[in-house]
Amino acid sequence: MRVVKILKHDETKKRGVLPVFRSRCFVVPLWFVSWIVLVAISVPIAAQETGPLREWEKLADSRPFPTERITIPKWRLTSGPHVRSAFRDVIAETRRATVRVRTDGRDTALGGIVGADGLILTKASRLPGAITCRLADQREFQAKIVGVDRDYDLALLKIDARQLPILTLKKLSPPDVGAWLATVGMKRGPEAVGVMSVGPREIWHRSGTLGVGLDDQTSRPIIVRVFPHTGAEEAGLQRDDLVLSVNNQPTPTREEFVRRVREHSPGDPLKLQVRRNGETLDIAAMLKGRRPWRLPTREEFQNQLGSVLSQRRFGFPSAFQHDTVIKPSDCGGPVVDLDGQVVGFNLARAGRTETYAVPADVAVGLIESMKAH
Amino acid sequence: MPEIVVFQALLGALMLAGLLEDNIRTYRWQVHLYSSAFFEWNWLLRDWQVAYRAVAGKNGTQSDPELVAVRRDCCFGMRALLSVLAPMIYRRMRVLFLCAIGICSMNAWVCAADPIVLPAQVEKVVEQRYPRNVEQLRLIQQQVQQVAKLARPATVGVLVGQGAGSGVIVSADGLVLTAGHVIGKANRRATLLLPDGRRLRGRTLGANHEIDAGMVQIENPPADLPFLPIAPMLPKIGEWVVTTGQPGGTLDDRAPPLRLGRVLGVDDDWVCTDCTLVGGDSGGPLVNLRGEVMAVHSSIGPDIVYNFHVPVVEIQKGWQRLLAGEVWGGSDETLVSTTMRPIIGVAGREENGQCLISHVFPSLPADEAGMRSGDVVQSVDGDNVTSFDELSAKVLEKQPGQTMRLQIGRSGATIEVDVVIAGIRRPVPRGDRAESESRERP
Repeated sequence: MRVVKILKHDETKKRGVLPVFRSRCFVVPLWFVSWIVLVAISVPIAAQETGPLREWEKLADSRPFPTERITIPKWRLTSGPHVRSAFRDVIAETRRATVRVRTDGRDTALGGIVGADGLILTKASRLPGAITCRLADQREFQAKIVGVDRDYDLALLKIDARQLPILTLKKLSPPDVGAWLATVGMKRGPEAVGVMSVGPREIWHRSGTLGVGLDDQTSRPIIVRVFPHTGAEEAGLQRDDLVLSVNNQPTPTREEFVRRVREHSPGDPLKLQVRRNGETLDIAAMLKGRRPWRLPTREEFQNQLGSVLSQRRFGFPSAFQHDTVIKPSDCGGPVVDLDGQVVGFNLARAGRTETYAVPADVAVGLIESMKAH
Repeated sequence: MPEIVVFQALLGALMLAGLLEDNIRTYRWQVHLYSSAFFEWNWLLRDWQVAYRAVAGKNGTQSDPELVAVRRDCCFGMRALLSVLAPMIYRRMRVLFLCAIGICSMNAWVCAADPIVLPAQVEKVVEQRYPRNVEQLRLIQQQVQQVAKLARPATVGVLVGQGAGSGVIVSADGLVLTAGHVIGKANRRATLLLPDGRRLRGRTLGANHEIDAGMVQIENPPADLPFLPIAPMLPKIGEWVVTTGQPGGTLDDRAPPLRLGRVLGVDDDWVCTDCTLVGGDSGGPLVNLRGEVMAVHSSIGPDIVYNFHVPVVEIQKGWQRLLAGEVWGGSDETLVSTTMRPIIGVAGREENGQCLISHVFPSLPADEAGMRSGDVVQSVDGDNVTSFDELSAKVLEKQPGQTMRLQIGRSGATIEVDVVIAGIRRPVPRGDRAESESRERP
């Protein structure tokens, strides 16, 4: 029995594809050649690896990152297209009431329809310029701002449309830590998915930077220096400008001016009233995060690795944290759990590990107060 | 226990039978041929490790070094054996199939000893390439939420000196596993911040800087200390994993944030996942869906999917040395040479198209070369300089150790000084490996 089997094995070898290779003397060298090729490849690799470390260091920049040496198939990624498509049924309902908010023709945020007569909730600090909203059915409308909540950086928009599908917002507390969360966008699958990291808490405020130097000879806020690459320079503030008020709050002294600016977070818009050459001007400036003439701290550097962060990302009275990696232009839209229930609205991409969202129960109250306003 | 022994005897007999069936000589080439099939039988190796864990201990608490050694040897013995036998096994699909049936039934038995049972239906889902529908997502979610309930209380913030990182308690008597760069040296005072608000005192034990692993022992551990068992096996590629830690330092009003991801790559001394990490997470646990610690966080890279962890199996190789407080690996030289930024130690501004030095920092090169505040730098190595930015650009072009010649105007006179450029630790480390994480308290 055994002998027969071995013979069969040999026969199949001899009946190669080409008749030339039938005889054993051709088959064996082929094996040998393939082995030699293997050795020829592996020897230089081995030689390099045992070489001096310095050589590797010189090559450091041209070398691929360790993981680039192996391929990562997209289906393996936690927020890859394959996993995302498993959420299609979950977000189907919410998707109909999600809009793309565009300013000056560029995608800047997502939004959710919260009133059938065209009320849309979105992220406020992404809205300078002419606003349009594109609905799930591809219709595009011009929008105007009807209410803003600066604490949560949310805005209520109004478009001229009726009988729109709306999001069902229930006053439920957010799901448990570890629950899947999907960020709904305009596509059939979600923009990105992740899990609940931390339940609602207050996100601390951090002061923004305007980028001006003040005259310390007088008590009034007179600008003596405008630093390059800051919000002050972009807004066109100039030397010798006297700041009269910040967001309609008068600033008679330097201390008052500094305090008013520090109340605001990076990414917040400021309305400044300044006196220049006897004229009174209104200037809109945007606060920036760190002082641009300083190197980023380790924390800032690491948080910006791998993803772009929202400008306005600190200081929210109540927000839950999830690990979904989204673009800053995908903030403002609804987040749903596995039941398809809207559990919140994305507020900001805040760090490498974190995205903040306002819980649905808080959002309901905010919408009411913005409507009333 | 007897079931396992009988089972293994049976398994061994099956394998032998399969091997004896054929002439071993014919399989010499197959070692090369089937080496590409490595990943196919890698799962087999893992299940053997699970089996041995069941033989060697009940619950996987790793405080007993002897037990650890026994298990490690078992695992390595099996690995060596399998690396020889695997091609042959692979050839004998029939035998492999029988083995697989046997191992699956054994797995069910082993599961009972795990902290969290991974139900068969969940296991089926997570072994797929990806979840297909909502029901499967829900199964994963249930499991993740169970793991979260165990993993978050056992995650601690570790404060050592000026540094802050994370760690995970792995035994009831207060052994904390963390990253080597979080503790640095042995026998330092450490503070451990539990998510329930308790602050415990500890001492650092050893550190293995080759792979970036370290240990802290809690002094006078309370009786109700939460801890996680550790898994003495390498994670599988594609495995679903959960991470916790204290990114950005421990905050009073924030429990350790949970992140979900999958293993994207595995090597001997690192695991790469798409669980996002950031400074402060270092030393926190990577937990599998059975609630066991598989690795501790070590470093991150420029892409969002470059998050590196040190596998526990690798740490176990030096477990006793770490317990004994030994520190080894990672010379200072490599740390310094790859992370230096050129600096001369002056501050200044542009004034009337000139580069004015407003401040000279003590005991840095500019100070040692005799520069003073109020100096105007006119040229660097013969090139005219008109602003402070230009001067900094010139300095950044240089390497630490090089010399640059500055022409300086001081109270009407022009003098020349040679400044030897120094290096400081770069806030942005550069190297072929991943960025090492923040050691400073953010």
